[in-house]
Amino acid sequence: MDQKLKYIGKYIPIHDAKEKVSGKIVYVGDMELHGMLHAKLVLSPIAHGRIKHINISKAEALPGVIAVFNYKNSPEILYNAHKWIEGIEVIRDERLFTSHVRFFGDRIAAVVAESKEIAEKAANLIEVEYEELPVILDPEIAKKADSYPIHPDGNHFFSKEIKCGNPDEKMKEGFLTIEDRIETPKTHHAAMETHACIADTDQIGNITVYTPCQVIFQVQLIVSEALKIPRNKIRVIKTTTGGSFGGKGQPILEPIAAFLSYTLKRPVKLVLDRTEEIIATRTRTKTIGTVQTAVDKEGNIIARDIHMLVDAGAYTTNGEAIAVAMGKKTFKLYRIYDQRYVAEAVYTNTLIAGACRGYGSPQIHSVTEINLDNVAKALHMDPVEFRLKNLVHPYDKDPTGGPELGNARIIDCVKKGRELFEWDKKYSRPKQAGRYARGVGMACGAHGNGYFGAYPDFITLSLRINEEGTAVLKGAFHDVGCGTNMTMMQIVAEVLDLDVSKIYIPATDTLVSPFDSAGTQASRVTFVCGGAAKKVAEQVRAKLIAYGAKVLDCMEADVVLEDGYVWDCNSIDLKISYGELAVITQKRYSEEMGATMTYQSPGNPTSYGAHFVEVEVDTMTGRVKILAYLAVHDLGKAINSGFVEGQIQGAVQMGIGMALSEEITFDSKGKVTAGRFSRYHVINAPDMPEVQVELIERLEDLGPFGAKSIGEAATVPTAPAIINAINHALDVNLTVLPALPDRIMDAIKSKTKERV
Amino acid sequence: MLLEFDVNGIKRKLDVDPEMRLIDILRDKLGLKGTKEGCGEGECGACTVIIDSVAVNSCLVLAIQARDKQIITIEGLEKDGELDLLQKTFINQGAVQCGYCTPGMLMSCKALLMQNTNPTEKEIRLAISGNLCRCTGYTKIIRAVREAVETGGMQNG
Amino acid sequence: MDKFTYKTPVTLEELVESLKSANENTYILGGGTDFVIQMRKKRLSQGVIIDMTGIRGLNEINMDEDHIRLGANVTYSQLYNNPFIRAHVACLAQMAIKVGSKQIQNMARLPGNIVNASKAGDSIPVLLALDASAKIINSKGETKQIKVQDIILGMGKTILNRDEAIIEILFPKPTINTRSSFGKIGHGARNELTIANVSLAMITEYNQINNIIEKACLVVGAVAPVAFHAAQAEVFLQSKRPSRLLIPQLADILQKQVETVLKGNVSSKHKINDIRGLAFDVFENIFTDVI
Ligand SMILES: Cc1cc2nc3c(=O)[nH]c(=O)nc-3n(C[C@H](O)[C@H](O)[C@H](O)COP(=O)(O)OP(=O)(O)OC[C@H]3O[C@@H](n4cnc5c(N)ncnc54)[C@H](O)[C@@H]3O)c2cc1C
Ligand code: FES
Ligand code: FES
Repeated sequence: MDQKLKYIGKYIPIHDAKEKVSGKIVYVGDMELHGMLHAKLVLSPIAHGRIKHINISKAEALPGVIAVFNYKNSPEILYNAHKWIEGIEVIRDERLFTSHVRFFGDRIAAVVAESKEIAEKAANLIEVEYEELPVILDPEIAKKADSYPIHPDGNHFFSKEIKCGNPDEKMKEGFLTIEDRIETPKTHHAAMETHACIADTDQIGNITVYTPCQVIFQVQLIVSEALKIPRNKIRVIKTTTGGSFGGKGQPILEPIAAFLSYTLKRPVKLVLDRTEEIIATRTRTKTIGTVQTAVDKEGNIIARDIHMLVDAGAYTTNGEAIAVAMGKKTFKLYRIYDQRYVAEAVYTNTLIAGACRGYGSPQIHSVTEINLDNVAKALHMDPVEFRLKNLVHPYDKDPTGGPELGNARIIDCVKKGRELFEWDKKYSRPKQAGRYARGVGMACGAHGNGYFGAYPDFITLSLRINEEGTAVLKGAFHDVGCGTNMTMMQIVAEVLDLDVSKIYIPATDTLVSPFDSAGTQASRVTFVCGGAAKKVAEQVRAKLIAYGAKVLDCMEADVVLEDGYVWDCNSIDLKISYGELAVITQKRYSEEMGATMTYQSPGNPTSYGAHFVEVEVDTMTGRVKILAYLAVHDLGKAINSGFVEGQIQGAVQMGIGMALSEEITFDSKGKVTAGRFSRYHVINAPDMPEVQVELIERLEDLGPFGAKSIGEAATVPTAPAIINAINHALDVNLTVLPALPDRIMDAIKSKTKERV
Repeated sequence: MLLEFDVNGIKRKLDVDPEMRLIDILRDKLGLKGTKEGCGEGECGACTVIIDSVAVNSCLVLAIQARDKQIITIEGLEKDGELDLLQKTFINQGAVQCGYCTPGMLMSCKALLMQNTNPTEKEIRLAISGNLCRCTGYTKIIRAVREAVETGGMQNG
Repeated sequence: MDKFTYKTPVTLEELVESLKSANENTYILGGGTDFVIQMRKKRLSQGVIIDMTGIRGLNEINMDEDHIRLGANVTYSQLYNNPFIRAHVACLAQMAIKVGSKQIQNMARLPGNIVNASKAGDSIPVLLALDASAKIINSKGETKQIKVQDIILGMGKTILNRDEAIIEILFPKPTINTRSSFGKIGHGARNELTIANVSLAMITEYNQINNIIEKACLVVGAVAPVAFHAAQAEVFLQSKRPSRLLIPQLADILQKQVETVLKGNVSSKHKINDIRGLAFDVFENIFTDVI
């Protein structure tokens, strides 16, 4: 089948590569509108308190300042930026500017001025007096009933249990039960483009918002809710996005910029600097997981009990959704028929959590996969062998009744990885004495494909072949840099047999793009939107054939479509282009060569991956060097092989950060101590290993050309694989991520003590 | 304050605010928006430009320090409508995803190749240690530099 | 609103002229890699900036009978790329390539590192180990030569007056027996582009003929407000034959000294691990061929 594919599977550069390498591409921060004003936020310098007094007079007096807004002169409406579609229940607790600050970085005010320099100066002149309140940084303290409430209803705002079988009973039957408690850190998305937004309002109050977002219709909804303005007065245009990773999923600046522009009737630009980006947007949810796994003598997992404490930070946002999402993953990777997952979510006076690449999967898998290595160790079993005994098989059912797993090929991933990585040899290699200790580790991961089974998951697309023979695909696609547009173009090109360069996707715009239920979220784009692109292209293809037959006066079965031309296979001399056929069809039959349709996601199979890593740990200083890295993924089919490889390599970079270096830290009063890149270490080129990528391309029945998701799935196994490798190298049990040098040294030292 | 310098081969004479950094002048005065600001403290490299043949963070250079200097920005790499070899290899190798780090990354790599026509992998990695990329994991960027070295060498030879 | 004004001396005479009106709002600008960040953080927007970088002749690395002389505008890249420095003042070259990133190395200079006087300044332990001095010029045109050791008083504090500028760094020429190395372990997990958590500069006079370390000089950075000589370690190594067996003892001595300086400060406890690692790195680096 593969040989016949012309576009699917190839590496074709991202659609805007040329504009990007030449510096011509325009991000929202590069845009200038006539008469544009500049806004600067004022953020809370304390972690918890009430504003007693705010003095804006000095700021207002500065020449060039247009206006200053704070809780006194802005809407009091509460909203939850996580809500992306009407009909889902959310806790509303966020407002534009607050008088009750709940974390270091909470929004107090915004200054609007003629230039960004003036806005910055004025922001610095605002004086605020606070009544300080008790600060809670530790989620375990927040969980206690008597902890000082950050929100009126207390700090423990959500709990959820998901269960299959009878874990309590089965747990007792275990030959061996291993318990671990593992902490994962709050981390920063670190997209290189910080959050930025422009809003413009015309004389009759129509607002246009330009934003590098992940869901235009969510932006429209949130702006509408926060400002109480009808949706049809709000137009959202997605701009070129300089990375997002979930960070730009929730509208943060959009309602503010819209409010400022709407009030002042001028275009307003709001761009965050890196410190604001770190503290005042969203973070990866911190979690504390406890897990107990019971196995029999042969190494079959017989029961598991998982408890996750979710630290949502100062506001709810997706705290409930992520707690549930994490749980679902735990039933899709191993054949465990007696299992309980319990999650509890709490507020703390720390940075707000949100979606971050993997949506909880990297956290939950860190907890469970590190634990499984400890189980294997206790059983004196090779961790690969142990996993192979327990992993799910293709077409297994979800024991909780969730969406079916589909063509689940995790076993193939592990077997392939074991062979390519020379796992058996490396794992059993005798330990060398000396300063540098080597070890290998691996971990598996599972991630979904969309919202099917949980939330509405559909997209409407419109595809038309125009008179020139080029095709226009309209849809709410949000390419955040991972090649969504080209992926769609390749799918359409393949179905229509039309060169990709002839397929055009217009800007994503609520005024132009047909409705899409969820945007770039939940790893749904390739699977759902790609499925839709394939379907709509098939409809257009059917039209090309039907009208081709009429025009060529032949049987439909004899119509050939190739490279933008149509002909009758019995008379190859007469070839007409798709454009000509479209013109004739319009003229003769009053029909256009296009189709519009709504596609419902057909399922939610699981994407899998297994990562293998070899590390060398300096036992004197606790520094870790990654010597070799292999990522094997079951993604059904790579639509664009280059993008897939790039996604995996980038995802591993992020996962290494979670394992080794990235952590947002606070002082005892809740002030962020890692609010800059000099203190928040993103892995740079010298420390980044060459990531070898291997794909298991066993087609998924429900996916377009067999494809499943990869971008999020790829970051799931990284952190636990690395921690397992360090644990293997040192024979320790690290339980707090990231494994910073001092944590590694503490682990080494406590082990030495144990021995004495 | 009057500033005279050469940007991408064009002599410029500008009246600039003395607090301005080179990045502000390039973006706001000259409209050369290809140079990006990702941190403003020398840590991310998105703002990298070439000054007198070496890579520099334009967020840490004051206007005055650019006087009489020759500056190359991302907009200056393309010659007569033809992309520079490195720009082409970045596209070929898939070294570009979101593109936000790309201008700075290209300028660091260009500066490297201006000084060292045959860098080792380690030298390439060190040359971009001050350029963060969150999308690619750097591998394809390194491959792009290697491809430029190899084809560049062939073109010369 | 008042704004910055700039002075752009091209000669030392013009520099002296520029320094004449210096007051607390006068700033000397080298590569700007510290200054620009501070200027923005402190929102400085008024005063006079004297840009050193255009002064002719200060970007050279020279040598006379007894000294190596580095002009105030010599960048870290220049140091690293200089074959003589690389071969004979290894600690300086190794330090230079460990400062920040390439972009930083291309702009930043030694005087800025000295005057910035950060606890973690990488050049400081090296310059102390080299027994380097700075040549300082004032607004009267007088010059004086002061040991770097005596210039830095504490974190961010130096003896320099507002009307003084460093125009040269100089240190005694290495002998044929001089061997040196610099090591640094950064904050956090990253290896490049990090602020030092601990650094160590070591210079030895090693007589290969009789295989004896005649003299050793070790300076520890980033532990105390100002880098300090590890005096016991220096005594320990004197007259010893280099061997791998020495290293653990050297590490113990250095560790003790760092512990004493830290006085049980728990937040810095892993500096103790790092100094041990550095003892091995630096010693092995210097004596690889003979141990
Ligand atoms: C991203 C980044 C990474 C860094 N990494 C490191 C690192 O790894 N190690 C390290 O040590 N430092 C590091 N630094 C700090 C900085 O680069 C060094 O301290 C550098 O040596 C400063 O030199 P400069 O020429 O840029 O000084 P400037 O910024 O120009 O000046 C710094 C101070 O010195 C004064 N000054 C400058 N020149 C003179 C002179 N000739 N006479 C008198 N006073 C003078 C200035 O007035 C100012 O107060 C880093 C900085 C950044 C932004
Ligand atoms: S913006 Fe200059 S280095 Fe980040
Ligand atoms: S391509 Fe997105 S940061 Fe490098």
